[in-house]
Amino acid sequence: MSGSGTSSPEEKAALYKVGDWLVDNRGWVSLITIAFTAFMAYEATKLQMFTSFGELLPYNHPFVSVHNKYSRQFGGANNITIMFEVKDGTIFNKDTLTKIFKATQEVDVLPDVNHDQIDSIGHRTTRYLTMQGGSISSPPVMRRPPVTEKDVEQIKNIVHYSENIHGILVSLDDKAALIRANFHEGRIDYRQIFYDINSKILEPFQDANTKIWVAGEPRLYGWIYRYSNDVFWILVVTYCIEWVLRWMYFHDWRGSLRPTITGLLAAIWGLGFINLIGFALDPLMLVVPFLITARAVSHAIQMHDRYYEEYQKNDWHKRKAIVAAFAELFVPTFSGIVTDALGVLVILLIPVVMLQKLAITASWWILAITVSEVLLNPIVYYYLRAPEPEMVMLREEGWFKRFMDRVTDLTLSKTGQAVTVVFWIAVAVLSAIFLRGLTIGDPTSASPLLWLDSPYNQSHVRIQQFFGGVEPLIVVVEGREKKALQDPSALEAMESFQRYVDSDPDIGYSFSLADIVKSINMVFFDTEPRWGVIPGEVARIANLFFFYFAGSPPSETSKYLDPSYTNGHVTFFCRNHQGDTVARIIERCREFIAKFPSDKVDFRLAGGLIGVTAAANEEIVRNDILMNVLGLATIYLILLFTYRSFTAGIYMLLPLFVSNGFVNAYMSVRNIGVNLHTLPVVTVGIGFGIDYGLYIVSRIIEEIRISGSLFDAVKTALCTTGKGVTFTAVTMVMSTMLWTTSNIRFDAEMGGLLAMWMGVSFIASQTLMPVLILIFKPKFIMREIPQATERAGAATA
Amino acid sequence: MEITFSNAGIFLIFFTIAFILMDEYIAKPWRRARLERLAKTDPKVREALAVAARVAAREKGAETD
Repeated sequence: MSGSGTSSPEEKAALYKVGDWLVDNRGWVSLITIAFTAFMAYEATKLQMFTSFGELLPYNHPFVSVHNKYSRQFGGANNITIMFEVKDGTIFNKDTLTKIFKATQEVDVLPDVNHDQIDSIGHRTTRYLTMQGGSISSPPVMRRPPVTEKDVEQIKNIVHYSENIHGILVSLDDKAALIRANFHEGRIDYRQIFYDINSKILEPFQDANTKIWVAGEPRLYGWIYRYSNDVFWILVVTYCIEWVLRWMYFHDWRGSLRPTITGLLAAIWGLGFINLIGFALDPLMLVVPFLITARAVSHAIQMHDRYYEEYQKNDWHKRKAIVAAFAELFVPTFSGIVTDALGVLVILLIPVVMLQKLAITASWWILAITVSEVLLNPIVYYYLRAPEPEMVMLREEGWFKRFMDRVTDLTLSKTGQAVTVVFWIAVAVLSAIFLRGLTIGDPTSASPLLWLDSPYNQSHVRIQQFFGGVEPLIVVVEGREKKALQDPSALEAMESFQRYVDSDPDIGYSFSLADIVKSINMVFFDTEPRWGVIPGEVARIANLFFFYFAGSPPSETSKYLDPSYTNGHVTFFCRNHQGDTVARIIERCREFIAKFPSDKVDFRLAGGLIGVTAAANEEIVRNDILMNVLGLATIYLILLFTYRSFTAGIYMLLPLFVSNGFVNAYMSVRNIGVNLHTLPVVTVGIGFGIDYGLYIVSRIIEEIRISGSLFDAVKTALCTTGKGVTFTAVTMVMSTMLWTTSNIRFDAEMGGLLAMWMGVSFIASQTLMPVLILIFKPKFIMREIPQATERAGAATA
Repeated sequence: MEITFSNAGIFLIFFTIAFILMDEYIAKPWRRARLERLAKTDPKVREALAVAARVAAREKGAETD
């Protein structure tokens, strides 16, 4: 019997004993497995699909601390924007204004809405300044829908004379109006909000002349929930295609069923575990569990292929073949699973709750494959009828085997070796050149989670066209003492900061307490623009605030400043959240803070969508290289212990380096930015990519112990194990590519990138790695030759 | 029709059972007949069928014992 991996004869004998023990004790092992699987299946049925915006934020970033502290008061990142656009005329008519008023009321009763953070000309908190009876007052723009044309005219005048409304809540051409609402962060029911907006706002208020556009994070997640059913189409199609392909490969339904059992068991245990520890399935991360299941199926295909081989080698004795397949493939399969699991566990280091949850659940899920694939394997084979010998023999004569033999001959020929090395050097160099253009953050102005032509992104773009910036960056102004914001120098610092930062071309407009003070002051002087200044005395500013806020409840004033006049904010509405735009605006904020320190207030960065996006981008820059290094280092360590060699890791990691470079270059060329969602691709890809190398190198070692010839060992490994690796790689790449049809662009791109990752690492493992092994004759393989020689000598004696 | 977890699961169970039945009762007899036909001209196929017959006899003997 041949050896495999790096197991010594004693270790191998022990593995044979374990295999025998599993078959002997199949009854109660099966019972325990069935009972545990039933329990996990019950837990899996209770699993919910859920996304929390807060879990996407890097929780230890200072921006996120500021965001979390002030989001309830000054507005968070969970905003929805509804735009009413009229085709003919303007919004100033009884019908449209009534629609806006009624729609605003509907928004005010949406689940989890922050009632004090709604901006609309139809909402009580949107007020204007006026002089009434010698005193200033700030009544709402609309107390009720307009009844007469005079009411319409009055509303129109108010809007046109209010700086905080015209151009901000009503477009400058009067053809569109906005309703903006903020939602409490936490467990928001995005599905319900999506459904409510459709049934209570879009359906009743949209007609031939009125088009309604909806954007913002809650709407975006609503669409993602709606599209998440795509996973079932992809699952069904993948299952059927893979089932047929495996049947064609093995010529037997058992060859299709066995990997399915492995995948199904791992999936039930994985899903049950997610529910047991109180997590939920994130629709954005569905591609990862899918890949893990596909990975389980791949390991099972390797095992099934080996079972066929051992069945023939062991003179068609089923039990001997079962135990031999288990013992011979234990090391590469187990190492492969552990590297997959630990590779994914590295994601735990990113301080983002969603990714940490992904790391925990995916690692457990992958480890469950150890049981479903390695330990249960002998038992499942025992219960299934053995394959027909004629099928096992004749499939070795099939076209796929002939194809593999031909490709291997070409690759391992002298010319083939030279071409292989030159080709991969060229790929590495070109990748290094192109990946320099890789961007951090979103390279597009719309949401990268959905396709550009999706209804959501069309809405987003349309709203941007009318109102410029709709994505808020909230900079909190913290006073150093109480009533600090009544001090002229504090307000002047806010105004200077506002002017300094909003000169950036990607800021649509900005708003701060200084704007309110200037507006109120102007009203006292018959709205003369020259009086639109910040008064120089504390008492006068305090009076202005009193006049303005006296008629409003504290819940309405709290969105501008706190009751002690200590903390306020400057909000910039940005045109997009592209990576470079966010970085530039944040840099400009930091520049001002460093250049012009105030002795009254401190500027704290930063809340709102742009603030938390900046935090995420900065965290990506910090973690991207770390993830790559740690992912590869973890795998290197496992390979070091598995093969007891410092060089084994280098040979097997080389295909992964090339794949990583290639995929990053592709992302750069296709303008796909590195963001929190694409970050796990590297570690998941590394974990899965290494499996191909593991199987091939283990087989080379196994064969060199028998033949004593490196060339023959490499050739046999590529023609036998390499055949299984090729089949699993092709099916994996095919099934992962199906994700590119998803309506969720993020899933589609992640699926596409992972397919590319696996495809490139497979080709490199099948060509570059064996060629390098032949050229450099590594010691960790060559040292196995004497054992073969000794064995040959013993046999002769 | 909207696809859900339940109807996708039911479809896949039916697909699996139908496929196994198809292989067992349609594909396998067809494969067998094809191999027997090929065995008349191809020695490799003839040898494979001979091995299969020997293994089947051995298994049958083991069952009888």
